[in-house]
Amino acid sequence: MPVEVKGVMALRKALNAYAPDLAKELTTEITKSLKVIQKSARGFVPNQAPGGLFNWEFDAARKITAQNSMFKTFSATGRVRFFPLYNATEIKRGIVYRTGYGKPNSRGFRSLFRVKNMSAAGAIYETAGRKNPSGVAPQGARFVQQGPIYGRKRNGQDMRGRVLYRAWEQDEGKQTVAIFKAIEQARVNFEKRATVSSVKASA
Amino acid sequence: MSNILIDIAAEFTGKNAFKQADSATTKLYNTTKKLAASFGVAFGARAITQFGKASVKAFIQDDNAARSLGVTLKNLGLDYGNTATSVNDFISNLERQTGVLDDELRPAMDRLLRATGSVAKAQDLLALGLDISAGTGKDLTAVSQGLQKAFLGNNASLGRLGVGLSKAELTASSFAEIQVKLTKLFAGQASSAAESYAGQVNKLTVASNNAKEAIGKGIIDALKMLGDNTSASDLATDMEDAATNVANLIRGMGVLLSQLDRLPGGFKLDVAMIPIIGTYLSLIAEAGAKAERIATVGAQRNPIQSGSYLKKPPVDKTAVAALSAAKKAAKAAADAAAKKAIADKKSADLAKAAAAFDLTRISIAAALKATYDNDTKLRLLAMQAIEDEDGTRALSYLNQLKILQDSVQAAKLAGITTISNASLEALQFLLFKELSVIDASSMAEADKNAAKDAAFAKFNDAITKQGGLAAANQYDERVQVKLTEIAKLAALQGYGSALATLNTIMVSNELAIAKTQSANDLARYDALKAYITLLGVAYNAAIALAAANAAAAVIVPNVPNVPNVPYVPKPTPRGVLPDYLDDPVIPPYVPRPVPRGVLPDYLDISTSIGSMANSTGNGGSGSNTIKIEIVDKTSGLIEVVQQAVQTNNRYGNNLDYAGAI
Repeated sequence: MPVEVKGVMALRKALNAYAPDLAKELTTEITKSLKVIQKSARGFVPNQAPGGLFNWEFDAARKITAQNSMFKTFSATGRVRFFPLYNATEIKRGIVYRTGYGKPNSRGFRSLFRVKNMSAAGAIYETAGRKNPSGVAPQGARFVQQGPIYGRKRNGQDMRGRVLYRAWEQDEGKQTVAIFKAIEQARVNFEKRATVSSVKASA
Repeated sequence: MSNILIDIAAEFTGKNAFKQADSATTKLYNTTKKLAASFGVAFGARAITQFGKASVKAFIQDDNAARSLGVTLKNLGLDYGNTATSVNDFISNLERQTGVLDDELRPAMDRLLRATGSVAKAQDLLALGLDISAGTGKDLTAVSQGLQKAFLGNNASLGRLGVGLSKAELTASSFAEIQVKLTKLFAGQASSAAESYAGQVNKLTVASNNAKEAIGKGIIDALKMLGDNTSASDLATDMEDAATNVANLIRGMGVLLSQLDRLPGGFKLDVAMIPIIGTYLSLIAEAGAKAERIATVGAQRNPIQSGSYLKKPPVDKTAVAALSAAKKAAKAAADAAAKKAIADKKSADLAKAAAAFDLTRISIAAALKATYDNDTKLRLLAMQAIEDEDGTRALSYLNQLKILQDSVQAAKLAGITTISNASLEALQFLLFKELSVIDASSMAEADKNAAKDAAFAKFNDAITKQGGLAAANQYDERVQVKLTEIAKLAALQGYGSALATLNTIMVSNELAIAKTQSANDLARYDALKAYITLLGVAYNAAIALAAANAAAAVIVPNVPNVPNVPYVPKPTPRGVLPDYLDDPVIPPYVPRPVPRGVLPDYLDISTSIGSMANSTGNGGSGSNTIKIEIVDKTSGLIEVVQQAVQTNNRYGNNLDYAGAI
């Protein structure tokens, strides 16, 4: 009875089950492409806090407490956490890629591969100035004016930023093409191997 | 925070949540169905048991409320005649009309009876409370509590009910007035609410509740008949057993009826139609109803309100009549007192209102405000007291006025024509007080200035009437300081009466200066006069001395007779003193003719020195020495010498070695 494999997830499941080497190869290929974006994005992270915001800069020698923190982050129930300070190393470490499946979103889609900017300070640097392009406070104005945000809004999703989205914008879809090519190649290889002739050959 | 991520690829996997929800709903449905199937029978029996319990509970609560109301009536001495019955009838009627349960009506009535002590008043207030409750949406308990407190004098509790009366109205009005207003405001609310859909439902609730109470009472009566239960636990067990049995019976009846309904020809069941059992059931029902009626009539109880409080010994009619008469008399007295109080209040209010338009009083009040003068003020206060028909106060003011006038007269007799220190201080105090009040007020700036001007005018007027300001230095230091402050304030005000005040104070100051100067001049004049007198004494003494000297004998010494020889000057050799130095007669100076180019004699140094040498008497030898002393005030020479000495010391010379001192 013929079996139809539909979708990347099913393909990868089939690969894992019947051709683990192809599955590994596919993962390697995808990872390679994702690493390109990751590396590029990490290159856009400035070594020091941008815009001359020296007090935002993380200083290991300075202990931040609720009393001396420049940034008051309180909620109705008390302090949630300290305001994230700018630490280039931490931001770079927070730029990661994932090849596992994500949870389905509200529209029923599951992410297959993704690149993320996970650190809080990285997210601030990435997105500051999206809502208020000229900044609200003078410090904000100084911050958002120190560099443009790259990218554009797509399908209602705001894909503008200074790190990850900038790298994505500069890549111009090359890595997406590469990933889909790799998937296609894996599918072709799997199909080849799944045909009777190839089974015979393998036998 | 939005997720900062880029999905390279995604796959549609369907809406998982919907699937999960669907499966959960199906599961729930199936489970519930099973549950219902499993517990259907037990649930029916349990429901009946619960109803039985609820019925008994409702009856007990109702009985307690009725008992409490009965006790209240008894305690208030109102349990005579058919009062209790009428109260219960009233509550039953209200319950049926308004759809409010007697569970609420009885405590409310109880509360109002305790507050008013009158059945009629309590009934009025309860009816009003029902209207307010329906109008405001507050429960009857809260409203009756509010009315109870208001009746006892605490009107604020009504304000919290939101009855639409202001705080001022609640504070100022009596309860009777408030009751009238509330009756007007909430008229017909309860009956209107009873006619509404919710009201109809409430009426059904009332009916069901009463049925529940009746059933509860029936159950208790039956259980009492069945066993002599004394404890609640026994009763509860019996109740549950009875309810289960009743439930089983009903269920059996249901089965029977459902079977009978299947018979052709539209068969309708009557219990009596059931052979043997039906007859017994009908008889039982009739017996139960009869027993209930007998018990009720026998105990003179209201069929629905089955409280036991109505059970009481027969009433002595004579005592009741006496009590009634006494109460009537007390009520008449209370009414009369109330009427008198109202009349007095009206009279007082009228007087107060009339005072608002009494021109005489207004004039006096205005004049009082416009004066600082003690004399005028006392006069006006006395007039005011006379207008108020307060003779004692008027006499007191007149007495004070007399004392003041006497003191003024005394001051005049003593030659004091200006304002005294104490009076001025008092005036200053009043002025400062008034100015501070004006400053602190929230008047417009223009009004403030006008008020300040009026205050200064009053101050001026008061000073003028009391003889004007004396020289400033006649007052004590404190008053003088205050005068300076007032002058400063007046200068700041800068116009009208303030300037007049400033002028008065300045004149006072100038007067003080002038007086001081005059006093100083006088003192200086006196001192001079004394000195002159002293000088005169000395002169006279000198004159006297001179006269005395003149009067004394003159002693003339014996002078030898000197012949009058004419003076013949002798020729004077050079180097010898001329004759005139030996002779008291000085020859006249005859200048010698001075040849041109030759110095005159008196400038000829050799001649002069020679003559000097001759004059010393040392002869005319040639060993004359001239000593010249140089005084160097700039000490330049000294410095030169010092330097030379230091150089010598430092470096030495051909005689001494270096450093020798």
